[in-house]
Amino acid sequence: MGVKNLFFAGVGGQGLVLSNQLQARAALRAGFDVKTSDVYGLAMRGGSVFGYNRFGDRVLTSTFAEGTGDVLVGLEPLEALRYARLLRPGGLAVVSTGRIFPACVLLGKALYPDDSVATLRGAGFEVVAIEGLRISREAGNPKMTNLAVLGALSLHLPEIPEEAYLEALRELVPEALFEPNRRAFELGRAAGRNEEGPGRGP
Amino acid sequence: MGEKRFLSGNEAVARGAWEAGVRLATSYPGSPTAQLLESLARYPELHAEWSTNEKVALEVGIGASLAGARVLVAMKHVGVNIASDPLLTFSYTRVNGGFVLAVGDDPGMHSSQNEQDSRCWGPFGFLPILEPGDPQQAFEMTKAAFALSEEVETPVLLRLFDKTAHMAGAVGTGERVAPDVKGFRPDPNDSFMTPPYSIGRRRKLEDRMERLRALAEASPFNEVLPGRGEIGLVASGYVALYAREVAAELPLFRLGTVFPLPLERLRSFAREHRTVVVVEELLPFIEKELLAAGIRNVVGKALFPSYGEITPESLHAGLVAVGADLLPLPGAAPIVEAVPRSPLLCAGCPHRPVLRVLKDLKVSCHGDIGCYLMGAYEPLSVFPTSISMGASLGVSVGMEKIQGGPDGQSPHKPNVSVMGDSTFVHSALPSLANATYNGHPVKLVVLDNRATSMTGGQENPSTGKDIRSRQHRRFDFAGFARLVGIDEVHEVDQFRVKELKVLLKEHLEAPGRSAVIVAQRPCALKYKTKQPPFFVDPDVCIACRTCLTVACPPISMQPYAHKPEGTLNSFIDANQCVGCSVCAQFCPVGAIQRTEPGKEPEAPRPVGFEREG
Repeated sequence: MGVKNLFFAGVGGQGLVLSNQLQARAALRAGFDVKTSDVYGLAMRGGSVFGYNRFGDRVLTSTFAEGTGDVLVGLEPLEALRYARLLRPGGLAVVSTGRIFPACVLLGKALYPDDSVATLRGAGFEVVAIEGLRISREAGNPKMTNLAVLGALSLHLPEIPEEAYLEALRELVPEALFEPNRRAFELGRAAGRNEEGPGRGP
Repeated sequence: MGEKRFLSGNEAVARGAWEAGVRLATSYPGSPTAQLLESLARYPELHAEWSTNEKVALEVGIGASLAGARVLVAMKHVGVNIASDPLLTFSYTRVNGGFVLAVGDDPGMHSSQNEQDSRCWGPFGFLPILEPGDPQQAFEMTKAAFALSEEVETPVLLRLFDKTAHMAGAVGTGERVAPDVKGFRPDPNDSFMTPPYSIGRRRKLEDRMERLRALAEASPFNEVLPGRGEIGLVASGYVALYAREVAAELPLFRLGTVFPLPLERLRSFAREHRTVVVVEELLPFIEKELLAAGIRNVVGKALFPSYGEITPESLHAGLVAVGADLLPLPGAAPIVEAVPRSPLLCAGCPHRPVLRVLKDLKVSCHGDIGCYLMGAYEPLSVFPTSISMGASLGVSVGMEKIQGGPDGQSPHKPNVSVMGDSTFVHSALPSLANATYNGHPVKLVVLDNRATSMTGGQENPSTGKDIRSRQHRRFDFAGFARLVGIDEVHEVDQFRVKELKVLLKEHLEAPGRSAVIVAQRPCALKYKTKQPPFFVDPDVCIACRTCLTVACPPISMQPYAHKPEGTLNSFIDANQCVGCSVCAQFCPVGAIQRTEPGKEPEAPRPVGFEREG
């Protein structure tokens, strides 16, 4: 296959680097070449964070041009909106709906956007929206939105078997945290599926 | 090729260094190379240490190299400024054990105060520079750099970027082959760098540069990737990979040795093409070298920006502008407006109450390098200045001298320096001694949160733990201040906000007197501060917005269904609150209370937040 371009967007502290790493290692296990890049440093403190992830037969570099992304993975809806410009027309956005307010909204200097999911749909993208926070709590720990979203994403990358994700999880996450993380992943994967069609969001 | 591993650029350099038999590695953490030493420290066969600053890191490395061991030293680009004193003279010496300096550049200033171009150290310090493009190359070049260092007896600079240090990919790895430690060769002709010895060594640098130029011509890291047409591209590192992606049909001279350049091979490449387009970030370094070598059909910075990162879009635009026949890029999807999200101090951050109190004092604060620089952002806005590591102390002293007049009594707001534990030990020890030596009144707040937090919570002298968590001596900030002659030295727990206010007001607002305040709460992120969260009772809240002025991520103003339409009251998102209590201590009416463990607060919830999550 050619190269598939994924983009992860979220807020510093949400565990975006882990979800990007898990995605990469799952793709590697499925036999693909993979390149990723993440942000570190200043932006990690509650700022807007992102990661590129590309997999395919042969991948030269980790980043790609605007308008060429196949999937946007949004751990937070405002961040999904911010990076929607990277998606190709009709591309897929997998988004957790739990809002985290940026400083300007906290201070009342700007409004948090009304309905990000509807806006993304209005721009012509396919959207899978999940309640990452609720799923995460159900799995036993509110800090696993990253795994819930990865679960939903995994459903839409059929070229990578589910088992590859679980093996990657076993590889990267300490033994004691494996079970809750697996549960969040599975619940997210189930939520990524819905009645309107194969995995095309509520 | 051995086992394939999925490694970031930093990890790939660490792996390469380990395989090359490195016995000692030092670093001061800085993005983008902060994870390099952390990766190396996982290999038990070598000694790894966080140094107190980059100059010390380099000097310890020099000692080990002189003793005949292979050494890797890592730092970010601005770290080399501090290390440049020993570096530019070490480069004169006859290097014994292979010495590689890994430097992380940061075009676009993702995590830096400037975007200086580290290639300048090449001609300035007679240093060969290698520049990998992806993790596989980072791994291979690191191993090759050690061989080059010993063959030519020179330090070698390995130039990384934010994009290469943090790019991860599959790397074919091998085994560790550690050469024996060669032993120290005590010969002043080689390593005593004062005349007449240094003059002799300077002459030898000419021969060394000659050999390096010849090796660059033969280096397998410089290669021509074929293509069609009259335009030939020259690029290095990851930009060369971009070039290959954006314009695969154009011939590309992919450089791995960026100093010295393989000028003769580049000259032949230029002869074969009507126009040579140099694609490089930051300075026109390669472009100028080509022009200086008499290669005239070169264009570069006329097509690409002189600052920031090159993107696939800017690369494409530049090539189209020079006449390359490329398919158009699809362009950005319809832009959806998104309000900005700037970094914010974490919930529970111990810097918050200090910065918030400083905001109300009649003082002029000077910021430094660390998470607390977020105190420059709204709504705290306490820092109009920040220059470099530890500089705020000297800056505040100099400003005080001018504003206070000859006797220090001219009316003005006293100048206060604010810096973190690691920054203080890194660069401000001489500044504090300088201040007391010259009789300057000096006001300093040390935010000792027991971590080098901005770069990921590394250990430092404030904990006394080394990179492998072995406990050594803790640095005594108060003791040091007293030792150099400060009489008013106070330690404070800044989560007791009342005490903090009294202390800071008393010691910082008084002109002409010196004081050092050490605020001692540990980093909320590293030490995972977590207590039952706070909540707002909207019926007690008077909507004064004082809680917003502490700038904490969980606190916002929200509409409540039972309150008059159009009014907002405070709300704390329990999912984000870590229970530090600072906002509650600032609330003038006691509307912010701690949740009882295991209980949901009975207070009403705002519209849109009817249930948790």
